[in-house]
Amino acid sequence: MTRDEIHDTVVEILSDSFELDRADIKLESTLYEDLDLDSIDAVDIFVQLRSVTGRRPDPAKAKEIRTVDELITFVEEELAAAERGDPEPDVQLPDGSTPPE
Amino acid sequence: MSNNPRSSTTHDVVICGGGLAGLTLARQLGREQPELRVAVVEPSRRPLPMVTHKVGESTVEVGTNYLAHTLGLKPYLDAEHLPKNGLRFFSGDNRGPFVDRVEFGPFEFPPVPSYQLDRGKLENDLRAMVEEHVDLREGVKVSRVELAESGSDDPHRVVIEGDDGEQTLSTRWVVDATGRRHLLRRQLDLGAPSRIDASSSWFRVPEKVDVAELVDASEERWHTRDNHGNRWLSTNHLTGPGYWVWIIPLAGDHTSIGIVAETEHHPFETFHTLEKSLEWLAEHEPALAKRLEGVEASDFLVRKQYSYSGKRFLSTDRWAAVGEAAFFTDPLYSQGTDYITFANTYTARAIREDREGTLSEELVSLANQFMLRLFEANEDILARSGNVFRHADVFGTKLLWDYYYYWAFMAAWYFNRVYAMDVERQRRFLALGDEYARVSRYIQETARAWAELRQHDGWKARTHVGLPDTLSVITDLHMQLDVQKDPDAAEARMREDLEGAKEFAAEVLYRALIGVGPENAAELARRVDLASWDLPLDGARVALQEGSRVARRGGFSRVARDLERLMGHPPGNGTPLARLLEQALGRRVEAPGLQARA
Ligand SMILES: Cc1cc2nc3c(=O)[nH]c(=O)nc-3n(C[C@H](O)[C@H](O)[C@H](O)COP(=O)(O)OP(=O)(O)OC[C@H]3O[C@@H](n4cnc5c(N)ncnc54)[C@H](O)[C@@H]3O)c2cc1C
Repeated sequence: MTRDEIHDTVVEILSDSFELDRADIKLESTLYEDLDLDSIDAVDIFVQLRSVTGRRPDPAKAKEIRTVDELITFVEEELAAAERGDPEPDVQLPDGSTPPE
Repeated sequence: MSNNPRSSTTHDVVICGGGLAGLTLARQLGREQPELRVAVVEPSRRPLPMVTHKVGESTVEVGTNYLAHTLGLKPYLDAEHLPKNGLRFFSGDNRGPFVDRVEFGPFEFPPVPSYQLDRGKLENDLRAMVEEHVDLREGVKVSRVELAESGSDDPHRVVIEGDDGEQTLSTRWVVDATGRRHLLRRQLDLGAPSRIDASSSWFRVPEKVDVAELVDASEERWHTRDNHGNRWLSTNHLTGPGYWVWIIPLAGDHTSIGIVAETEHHPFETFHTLEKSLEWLAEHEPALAKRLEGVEASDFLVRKQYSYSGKRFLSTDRWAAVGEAAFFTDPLYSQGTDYITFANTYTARAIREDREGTLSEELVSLANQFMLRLFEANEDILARSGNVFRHADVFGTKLLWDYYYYWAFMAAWYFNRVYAMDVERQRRFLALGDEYARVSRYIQETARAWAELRQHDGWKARTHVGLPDTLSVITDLHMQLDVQKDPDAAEARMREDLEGAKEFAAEVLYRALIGVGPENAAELARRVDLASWDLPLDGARVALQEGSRVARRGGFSRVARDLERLMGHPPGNGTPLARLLEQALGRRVEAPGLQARA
């Protein structure tokens, strides 16, 4: 996927999921202020992004993301990691804990 | 046993039938009450055929917890059977491209585990395990049971027949685990009809059938979202008008495939032979039928009108009926092993209390009531649901409620060990259960009416709803199962979740009203008898329906918000929800929090 394609996909997911006008989703838009998302919305974004990246998102990295641009970069990095066959981060339960062995 | 000299009996417990219910009860008694002299009488001999032995391969949370922990089989199940990737449903246009069906199912293994069992293997292995401490008679059948006079302390007599002729066992307890042979049910007139009128056919094929093969490889996003390639490990259900089809993987690359259809929509004669079942699949599930072309079935079996209820399963007269000998509701949510779990567990408790001289009519009556309520709850969920299977928005909403109900009440009963609590406390749980059942009835009736009167799309198509790996109220209920709670905390939690259940019912009503539109809002209200509902409807919440996303997020309850996250925001039909509700109720609902009841 090129960066442009990733951009289009991210915009599509954001606009479809959160009733946002595509024109309002700019590279520099911040997710939590400009686009008015909250932490539960963020969970939903990362669930949806799995269908693009094919990987469990790394929660530490995901937490750092502030803007649409950073989100696109994140997807790009995840795709590269998938390409390299990097191991996925450990399973995280929905409440953020890890399952007992 | 308390009043009875043991020497006058050959056994303390005779279990008639060594299928899943009989063998698991034998193992449970052996672990919990090792001093008991238990016999299991079973006509068939080992080795049982693998794969094709019996139907009922998929377990859910309760049955799994019972097998894994109560019976201590976890290491065995992990090693010898398949881990299950939850329940998965594909709903929507059954004849269109498979990729367009809405998918409900997890992509990470659900936190609380379950399995896909090979029933032949499991029963072979269970026999080997129990024969160490149980008098296991294989190749022997029970010809009749002579019950002692009611209220007496005399032993029951069980007449058995094998290669060396007839023999009589005398026992304090007799347990009917003969499945559809129903030994005691006939004798004691225990049968009762079911409101579910559906039949099933099924067959096994000697290869892995992966539901992912039904979607072209070029559909990258569809395949990528299941990045671990684990869809095939789910109990996969394809739903369509009046029916659903299961695809269940079995160890050793075999697959079980079954059709379950309501008589009203699909007469049994349309799928009662293998040839007809394949033709039926070609018509209703063309993608699956295509995948099965040229594949040879290893077996073919049917059950016409499979559902039946019972009046009771346990008696102070020292008998019990467990497994299919007592009840069978419906396979949709794989609860067969759950019924076995509850019946076995109450039976084991009754046998123990009888030995200790504390067995009371109250406990037995409560156990019977619980099982009957469980049956009725599942009847409410499943009877006449053929039209609900037709529409992904209706079905999905109902499915989420059915999960909510199962985790908040039915499964919580087992995980919180309610069955072991004193009778007084269990009665309070049962009363809570009645409240859940009432709310569930509202929802099921609404879903049926919604499916039948539907005019507008209930959502902006979500393609995948990932329960229970998405953080939500419902997933939280699933995860709560594994959190140990004392009886007070368990009761408080169940009560708290009941409030969420009522919110859930209101949300389903709103979605249904939007779906049926101004054309049918009044008719929907009439069909569900909305005027008689006792449910808080909140005018402020209703007014938010057409508000902005941010306004809704701010004003919605957690349940409302989660339903919107999972099922989408209904696009609406031009008529505000408040107006639809007014048409339905014949009056306005004011903000905030006025009762719907006039
Ligand atoms: C279509 C369908 C799908 C299902 N899917 C599932 C599922 O996915 N998950 C699930 O958990 N459950 C499922 N079930 C239910 C499951 O099949 C039952 O819960 C389970 O098999 C019942 O076990 P049982 O021991 O009561 O009966 P059985 O396993 O039938 O055992 C009865 C035993 O009694 C013996 N017997 C018969 N007559 C006599 C006699 N005279 N004397 C002594 N012994 C005798 C038989 O030989 C047999 O071994 C399904 C059921 C149906 C109909």
